[in-house]
Amino acid sequence: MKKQLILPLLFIVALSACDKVDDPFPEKKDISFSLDETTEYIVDADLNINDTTALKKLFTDHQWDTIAAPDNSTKRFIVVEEFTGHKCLNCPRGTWEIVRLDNIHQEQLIPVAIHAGTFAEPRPPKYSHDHRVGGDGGAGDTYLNTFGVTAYPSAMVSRTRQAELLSDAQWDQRINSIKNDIPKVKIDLKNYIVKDTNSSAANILRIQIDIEWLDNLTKEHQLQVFLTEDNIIDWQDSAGVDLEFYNHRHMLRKVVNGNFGLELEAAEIGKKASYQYITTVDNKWKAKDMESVVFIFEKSPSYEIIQGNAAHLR
Amino acid sequence: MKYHYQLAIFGLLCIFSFSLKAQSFQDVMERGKIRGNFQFESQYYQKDTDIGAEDVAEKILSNGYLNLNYTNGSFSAGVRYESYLNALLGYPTGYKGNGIMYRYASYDKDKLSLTVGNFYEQFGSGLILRTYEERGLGYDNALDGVRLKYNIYDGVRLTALTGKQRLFFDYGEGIVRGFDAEIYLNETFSAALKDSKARIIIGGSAVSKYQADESSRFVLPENVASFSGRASVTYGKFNVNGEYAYKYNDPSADNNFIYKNGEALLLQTSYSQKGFGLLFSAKRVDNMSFRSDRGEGQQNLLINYVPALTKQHTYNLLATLYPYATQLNGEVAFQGDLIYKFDKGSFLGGERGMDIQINYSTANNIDTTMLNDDNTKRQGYKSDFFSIGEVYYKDFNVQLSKRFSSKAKGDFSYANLVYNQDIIEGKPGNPKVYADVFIADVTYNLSMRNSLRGEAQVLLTEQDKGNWGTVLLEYTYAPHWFIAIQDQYNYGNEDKDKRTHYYNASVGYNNQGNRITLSYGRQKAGIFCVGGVCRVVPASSGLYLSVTSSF
Repeated sequence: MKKQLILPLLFIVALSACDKVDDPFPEKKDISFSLDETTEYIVDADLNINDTTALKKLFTDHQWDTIAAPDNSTKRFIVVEEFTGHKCLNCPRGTWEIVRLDNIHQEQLIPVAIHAGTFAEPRPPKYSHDHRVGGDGGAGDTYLNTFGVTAYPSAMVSRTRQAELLSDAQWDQRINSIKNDIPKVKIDLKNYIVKDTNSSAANILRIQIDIEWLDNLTKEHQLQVFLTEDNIIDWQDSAGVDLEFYNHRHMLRKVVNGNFGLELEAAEIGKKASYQYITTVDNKWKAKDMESVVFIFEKSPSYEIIQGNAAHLR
Repeated sequence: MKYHYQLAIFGLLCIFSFSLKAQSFQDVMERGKIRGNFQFESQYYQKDTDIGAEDVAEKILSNGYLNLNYTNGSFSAGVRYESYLNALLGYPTGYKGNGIMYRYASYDKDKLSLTVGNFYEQFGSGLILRTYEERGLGYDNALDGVRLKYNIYDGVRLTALTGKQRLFFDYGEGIVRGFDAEIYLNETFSAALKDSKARIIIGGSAVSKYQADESSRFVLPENVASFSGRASVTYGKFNVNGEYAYKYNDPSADNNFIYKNGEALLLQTSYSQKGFGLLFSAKRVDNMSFRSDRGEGQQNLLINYVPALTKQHTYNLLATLYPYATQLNGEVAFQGDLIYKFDKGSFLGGERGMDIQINYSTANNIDTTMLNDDNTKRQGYKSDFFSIGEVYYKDFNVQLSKRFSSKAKGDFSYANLVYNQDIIEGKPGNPKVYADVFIADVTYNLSMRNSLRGEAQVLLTEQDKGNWGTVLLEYTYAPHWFIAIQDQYNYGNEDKDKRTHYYNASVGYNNQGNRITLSYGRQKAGIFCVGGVCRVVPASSGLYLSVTSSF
């Protein structure tokens, strides 16, 4: 190497010696408890429940409403993750397609609208609300970057074919191609929420997840838990027209257990595992329009969602 | 003692490694030269309740320094021995004990200069890197590491360095890495620019620091980078130069751990000809405190330096009562300087001419809008580049210098100050000080060897401690002796019990490179600044001895 190159190389090294921090706060670690041999209780750190006594007290101090998700032991439920944004003028077209498909496939179809990217950035005065989970650089942007979204509206249908992004014209066909798959795993899902809506604990949600493997699988899997909210009325650019009272559907509101979920043990037929996530629901959200969305997906690079389920909160 | 052994081994290794070839040891040694200087300051302290001077347990405190520099051809090496037994009042208390905290060896060969050990360095105007020693402040942020300088082409000078910064008798946690390139275009493109009247210099720097993130509260950037670009154009009597610096997110105790990027802009232009000079400077600094330890404060471990755009006053009242400290977190400052010489025989110049210097400087906060995002992004605030916030400091001053006869000359000054105590001294709630200062300084040569100098100063203000006056009388018996008496009197203090005299008497002896000064008196509490960098000085009273020598 010529000696003249040595110092310029040092300059390049100096240029690269910088860490850009987008989120100044360390990710809070949820706390895990075992009250019995079957269920692992994973508690949101914000709840400050630090021991099993406090956890049991939470359970016994309140009356809980429960809503269970449909049985998916014989069907592969399909999760459609659509990337959208309030300034995306073609996105209403995607929403209408999702609504149409949802009407056809009913409980088997689980829509999740992920607001992310440039089109989802707040733009006051009209588009002042930030519908992105975690805001700029949050979970929505993480998914956007991970899956390489370049066009709107686009969606992944259970992240099939290595999380292939499809235009709205392709969703129908992809759903139909997998809707009759034999499920590899069953997810029983039940939400517990405090009955008394005036209680200070009314925003605490318990998401009970019981999984049972229906096949032996060699790949590794992750369990993902989302919260979505339906029927949010806010501004939307629709083909260049600002619609003030647009109905935003199935908006991703919270990623409960990290952007890429919880690692599961090896999938062996007949093997069961139970988890209960105890988390909070923002008071600004309408619990009656919310669902917990749970799915199991193969680890990177496949990311394919092999089973999903969803249940209302109230 | 280990430092002494290190020094001896270090010196021997250097000499044998670099200098011995075919020549004899004696030949080599005869070419070598040793230069150095010595400084010793000591004070006997006495309790003085009138001025708030506390009792000092040691009674006597002393600072001592010895610099030794050895050069032999292209090789040089040096050490500085420092002694603080214990450090003089007002010095950072981290200086305690004796030791060698500065030692280096340097070698030049084929346009490459190599330094290991301690060194001082400055990139451009210092906006992203300046290490230096200012002994009066107890300021020394020397790097200890490796530095390479290389003149890669004609007029192209590259510098690369890495090191840790000195922190008293230890080192800071962080590691500093830097690179600078400076191009003298007239040299590099000598064929094309040989007839050009314009002299153009451009430069660019990158400095990065590393400090491990051990915080449980925040995710901290372990590597923080900063960059700067600069240019200077001189055309005849006219010069314009500027530098812009940018620093990535650097949460620290200085900025209350916000993640906003920092930036600084410095612009200067000047015109000068015989008897006339005009200078205008401007700067904007936003979140530019840059230290190799994010938790440090005071003047410790600063990597960069933001030049002060205020006049460095020397007269007692102006220099010690309300000096300005550069605000690294945010500042917009402007300064204008006009120097003019009235010719002999002109209306204002009279028989012997007259010099006038007019200076105006102002420093304000940047205009900020708080984002209230302490619990989210922690960007802290946003600021409009061209808006200006609260006044920190203003100084309008005029100085006339006039020789009245072959024996008498005088300097006469007026200054009008606005001083934001709240910010500069960190005294929330204290009102801004508005002050007028008048100074007369007259020297009369009694004979070739005897001269008498007198100063009279008055500072008028309705804020803070009210009016002050200073008188000084100094007799010099050239070339060796001087004797002086001075009194600074806070005659306008609203509290009559605090109308204190700060008297001082001193005698000094100079002989070639040696200077000995002995003084007795009081020093008021305040802040002491050099170049916008300041330290707090407590009140003290007692006998002070200073000895300096160079060889």
